[in-house]
Amino acid sequence: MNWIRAKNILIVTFIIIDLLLLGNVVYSYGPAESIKRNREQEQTLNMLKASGITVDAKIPQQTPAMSLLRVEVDNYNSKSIGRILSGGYSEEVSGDEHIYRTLTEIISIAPNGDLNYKSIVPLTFNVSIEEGLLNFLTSKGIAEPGMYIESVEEKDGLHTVKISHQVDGYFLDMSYIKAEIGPRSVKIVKHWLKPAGYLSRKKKVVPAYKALGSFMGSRGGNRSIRITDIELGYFFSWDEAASGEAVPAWRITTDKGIYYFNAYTGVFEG
Amino acid sequence: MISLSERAKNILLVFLVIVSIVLSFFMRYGLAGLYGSSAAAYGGREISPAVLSAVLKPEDIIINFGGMDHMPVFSDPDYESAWREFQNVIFSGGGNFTSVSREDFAVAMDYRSLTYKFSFPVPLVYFNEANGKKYNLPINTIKDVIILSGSSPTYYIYDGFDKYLRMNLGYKNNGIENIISINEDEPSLYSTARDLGFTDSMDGDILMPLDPESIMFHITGPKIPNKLDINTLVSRYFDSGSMVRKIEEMPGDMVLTDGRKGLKVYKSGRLEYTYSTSSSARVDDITAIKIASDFVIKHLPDMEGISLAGMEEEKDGYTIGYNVRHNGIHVYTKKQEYPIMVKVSGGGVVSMKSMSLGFVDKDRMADLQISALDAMDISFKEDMKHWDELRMCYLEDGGEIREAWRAVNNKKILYVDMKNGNV
Repeated sequence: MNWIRAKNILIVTFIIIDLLLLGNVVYSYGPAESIKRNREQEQTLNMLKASGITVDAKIPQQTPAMSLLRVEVDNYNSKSIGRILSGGYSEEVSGDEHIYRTLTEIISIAPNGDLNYKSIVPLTFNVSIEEGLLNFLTSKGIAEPGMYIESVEEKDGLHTVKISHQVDGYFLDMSYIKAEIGPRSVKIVKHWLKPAGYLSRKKKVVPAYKALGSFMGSRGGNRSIRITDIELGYFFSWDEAASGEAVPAWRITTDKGIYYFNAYTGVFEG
Repeated sequence: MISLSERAKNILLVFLVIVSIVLSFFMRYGLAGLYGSSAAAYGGREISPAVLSAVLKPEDIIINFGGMDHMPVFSDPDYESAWREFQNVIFSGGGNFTSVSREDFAVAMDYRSLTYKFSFPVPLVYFNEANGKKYNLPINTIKDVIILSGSSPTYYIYDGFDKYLRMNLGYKNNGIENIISINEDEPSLYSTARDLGFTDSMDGDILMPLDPESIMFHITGPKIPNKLDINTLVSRYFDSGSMVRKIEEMPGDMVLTDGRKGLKVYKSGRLEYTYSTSSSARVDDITAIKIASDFVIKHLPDMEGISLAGMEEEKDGYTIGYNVRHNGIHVYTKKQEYPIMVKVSGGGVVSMKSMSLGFVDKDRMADLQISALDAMDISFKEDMKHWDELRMCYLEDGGEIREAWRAVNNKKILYVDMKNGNV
């Protein structure tokens, strides 16, 4: 057997095989994939336009590998209530709710752990509303790590402050505090998720345009809609949950509402 | 002595082989499930007919010792061998049919024989499909069958509507007599309502225990999944590439979901599976049963004694019900019509509800505290004046399984606790 000749044939054969394999991989992952994605995104945007959906937001291009995030629903109990209320309080149970009262304050705890606080003593600040509210929440033990003020609106002397939750640079919805600070009262609603670590397995998320495609498919009616923001983060919303795992989600904010799409599958979440 | 150029070629060849292996690996594993699998549950996959034959089984098999002595078949090996004899005799072909009256059919139960009762009139085409043959019987459905003992067996068949037939087969090697004889050593425990004279108020075929004190039940309970079982459920119900998240609910129930499929595992052991599909593909009834049965067998491997109980055609698919036998006794639940219910739509399973993953027997046995006559009295007080069915059963209720009498009149169902007589 002519080993030298056989070796030459093998080398040529393997060069051809490797080139074919390389071509396939480049098509799937390399610049060709990027071109394919751009084309698909372009097509999705054209279809959105044809459906009366205007995109007034930058479409994120990142598709990182993300894990599920373990969360626990913050659940208040009598011990933590004592810190929020000033002085002695009474406790009563109304239906599934626990209600705690002092002369000037009332707290109700819903079955899912949501906290509703109301005080008829107005809050007066020497500092801005934002800073004053954060100080107040900290003093009451309601403040949480990762919270940030997302918006402040003022109407007829009533300030509505929306506080959102961020974990490692990503939003975590639905985890929020909403405060209404009026001239005669203060109201606070808190639904908070406590992050308890990531699961070890990671998976690459779908591009944002896939979520836009699902948004178009799930939208009912023919009304025109304007998309104002598209962002990647975590989403967990379950009525009776005590704990669970938040899923990476594309959040599409429109002038008609906010929608979440599973970032692993692109399917509508809530 | 190897020249320098040949050595370079050797190194190049080794390098090319390694590159081809790496690129092949990357192609195979790098692409698979990158964005998760979205394949439909049964997208075009062929399901074996064996799936159908695994669930096309009678609801009850009764041994008739001759005269007034009868006995339901409780043991699984006896049930299986009796079922094999059914197929051996009924589907063997040949012989001549004669039409008989309803009374003739009823009287046949007094002969030495085996009675087979299906939950509903099963179309003959289902059996054709299950066994890959075309059976030549002058009826379209099979509801009840009585096969008489003997080397030249005669059998009676009822189609569930208006046809009663008798068939003489001539010589046919069979094991009917063997099954009857083996069980004859035990006392004959039951008699029909007809033989006992309850002809006006009860269906004549209802079996009543003659010696209630000798009847003992295994005390059993539903299998409650632990943490390990939950991981098994994840791999069983979800695609390997999907990211399944767990949600623990306040009452202690758990939800598993990957965004498309959802599985709720109740604290009591109940299971509810859902799958959202946009497919509008329509399948025929046999395919729907095959799809549903394949799903049940694969996803509830610990559930024994599953048999097809009925199906209902709906606008967007079929709802298929399954009966479950445990320790030879039927298990029912108050939550749903059948212990296992599957909905097939768009060519796949879109929902499944099961009363549990399986059963765990306790070491204790229970005896019959409330007799059939007591159960009749109790259900009579609940305004039941006629009994289409009166049978011993297990009843699942909120995570417990109790021994009960099941009394049925038309659509009304009452369960009478065998321990305390509570309805």
